[in-house]
Amino acid sequence: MRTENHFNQLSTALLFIIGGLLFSLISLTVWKLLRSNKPTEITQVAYESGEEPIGSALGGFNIRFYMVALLFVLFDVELVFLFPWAVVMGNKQFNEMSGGVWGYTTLIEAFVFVLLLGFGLAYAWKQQWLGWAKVAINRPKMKQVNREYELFNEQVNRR
Amino acid sequence: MADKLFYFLAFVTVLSALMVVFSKNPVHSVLYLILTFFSISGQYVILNAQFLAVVNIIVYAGAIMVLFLFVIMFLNMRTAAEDARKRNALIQLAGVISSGLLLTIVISALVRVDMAAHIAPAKALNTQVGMVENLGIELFTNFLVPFELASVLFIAAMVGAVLLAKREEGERNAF
Amino acid sequence: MQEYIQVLGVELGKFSGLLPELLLLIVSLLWLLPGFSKGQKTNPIWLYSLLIPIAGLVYLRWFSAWKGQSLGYGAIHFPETSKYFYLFTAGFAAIPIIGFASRSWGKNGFTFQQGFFYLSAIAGALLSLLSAQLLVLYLAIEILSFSSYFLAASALNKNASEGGIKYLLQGSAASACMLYGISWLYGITGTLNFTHPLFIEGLKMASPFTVYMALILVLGGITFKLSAFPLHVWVSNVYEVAPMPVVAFLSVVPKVAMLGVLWQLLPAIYQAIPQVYQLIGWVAMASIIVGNVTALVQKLPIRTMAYSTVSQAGYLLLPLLSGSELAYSTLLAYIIVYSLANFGVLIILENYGWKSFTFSQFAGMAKTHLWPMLALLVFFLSLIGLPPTLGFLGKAGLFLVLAEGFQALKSTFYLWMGILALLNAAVALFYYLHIPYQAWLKPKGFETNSKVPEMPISAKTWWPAQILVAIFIVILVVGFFWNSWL
Repeated sequence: MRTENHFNQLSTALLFIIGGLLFSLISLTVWKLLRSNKPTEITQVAYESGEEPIGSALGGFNIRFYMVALLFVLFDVELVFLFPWAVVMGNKQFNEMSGGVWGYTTLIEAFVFVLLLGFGLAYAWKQQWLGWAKVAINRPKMKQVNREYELFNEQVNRR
Repeated sequence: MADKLFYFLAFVTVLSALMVVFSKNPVHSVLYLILTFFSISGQYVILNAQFLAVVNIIVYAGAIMVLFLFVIMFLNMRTAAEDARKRNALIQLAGVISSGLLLTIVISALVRVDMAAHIAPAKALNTQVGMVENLGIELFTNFLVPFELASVLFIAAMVGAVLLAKREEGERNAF
Repeated sequence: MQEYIQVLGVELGKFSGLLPELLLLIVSLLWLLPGFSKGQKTNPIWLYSLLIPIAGLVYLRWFSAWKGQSLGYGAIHFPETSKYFYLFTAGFAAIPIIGFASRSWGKNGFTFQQGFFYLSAIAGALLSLLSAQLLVLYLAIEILSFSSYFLAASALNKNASEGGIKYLLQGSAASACMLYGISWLYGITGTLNFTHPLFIEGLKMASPFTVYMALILVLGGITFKLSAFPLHVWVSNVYEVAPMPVVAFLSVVPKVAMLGVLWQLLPAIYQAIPQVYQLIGWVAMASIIVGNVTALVQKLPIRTMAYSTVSQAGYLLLPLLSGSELAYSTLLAYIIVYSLANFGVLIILENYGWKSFTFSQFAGMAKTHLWPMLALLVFFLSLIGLPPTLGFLGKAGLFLVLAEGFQALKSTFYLWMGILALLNAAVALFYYLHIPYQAWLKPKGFETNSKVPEMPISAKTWWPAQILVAIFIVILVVGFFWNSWL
């Protein structure tokens, strides 16, 4: 039986956790020892892919991020329900035990579950809760700018 | 081995939970809460609920903590901290007393539970009970109705979230 | 574990028994479809089409079997005693649809989203009545709750969403309590199925203190839906901000459903620990007293109505102190009286544009609006429980139940309950008769007119509402005389 002591099976997982922690700690300390420590104003700035950061990182967020996060939580919970489904769904032994209804039942149930949530997602999408508010581009102004460029080019060409 | 691990994890849980309450910076509170969730996941493993341990990390430490962080980011933390300082001492005292009483009652009720009387010895031996496969079987047989009702609840929550977050036209949050 | 898989085919076959409720859920989802193509605006025909699934449900369940059969591995059952609770829940859910015009539902009238939430709320209430398993019960109550939160916020103005979010926060606290209590019950008994013999056995073996604690936690979630004492704070806020049809729905339908749930849940617990009736008694008495006292000091009639439903929830809990035949019929009778009178008051207040009036604005109203004032008088008399209405028989039934309990158990607890309930019925006289008092006995004073911030939108009344009010009055008055002949 594989039921004697579940700690023995989980010791592998524990080793991984300890190993992961050790690796990150070692690399951090090695890093700390090797690097030079000369804080200037430039080195203290948060690095954003070469862009200079604007304002504080703790500023206000747009509430639309929250909507996305909320939907993410719902789908996360859905995923949790689908894990057990994926494990037991195609089990031949269970299917025989139940007289051939096991596979269809689990398949249909999980589909209903996913479809209902997909329906909700599509609804949120159609109600325009996943998109951003459209930024009104001031066309006349753009035209004016283009016109300025053209005038400038003409002047350059004349010279 | 198991009880030593339990006491260690319980210590970490309680300590980090206290740090959630006492730390000044709300972001630090959230980080301590993540530590709390991890140590509770460890407790789940000791209790033979392996899948639940993983779910706890994925859903709580992963998704719900992100929501918490979002909420903290929405609010202006400096004013919130000042409000907290101004709060009435009487209300704080009342909160401490009432939650302390609740804790006392809950603990004294839990102490009276005789675990040995309820768990049949045959049931206690099965260490596979918290594995994904067993949960899957339970979910699609015994808990078939709740499983489907949960999806209805999700869709109601989803549509409702859309409805509540709806704003008057022209009203925009500052970026 | 394996035996569950072996009977899967049989259990699937039984699912046809739940077809009406599943159809209701599917129909409720159909109400989301218009949101895909166009806006949320409807015309009144859509509002009345909500009646079709409700009527179908009542029709199907009226003739279907209620013999205690169960399905879904014992998660759903059809006990005989739940039949009338079920029919009342579904039937009373139809009344707000008829009694209020589309414009009462919000700024833009009735919307498709409201239709979805309305139907899913009904489905949640009905499934909670059918549940035999605590987890199904919890999920059904949550479906009902979530739909209620969003219905309450569906007027889509700033006040409404604030009120809705407050309601949601309190509700999630209550549901967390309930879930925790359910986990305790599961830990104590080892089963989630409260009709299972193991459940009662487990409760008997456990320490009563632990069971009490678990029950208090579970009752937290249920009293929240009942709007009974410990978790009644949301009521006045929601009554003020929610659209009136939603208020009417929330004041009756969840209450009836939760009483049906308690009627199923409590016998199992009484078998294990008979003294639990005292816990229910305390909750009932506390809601009666707190509701009455707070209702007395309110300045707005709508808030008075809100707190009066808290005290009425207490009265509705009294028959649950005993599980006798008399208690059952009294509970059903009291549900009818309370629901009809409550609906009547709310319908009149809304359709005459009196929702945001203060009491003093009703002064001298009897001369200009005689019929609505007479109707209000009848409804208030039945809510108090005074003779020429059916309300008297309802209240008298409650005291008979308490007297019966006193005789059976020789416990003075019932006696005190009876005395306190009687005293509180007298207190209710003051606030329920405040509007009739202003309307008949006060002259139309000049100071009231100067204080009026805004006049009613229109005194135009909705004719189906008038018919409904007439029917309610006939039932409440004729019911009294017809019963006394028996």
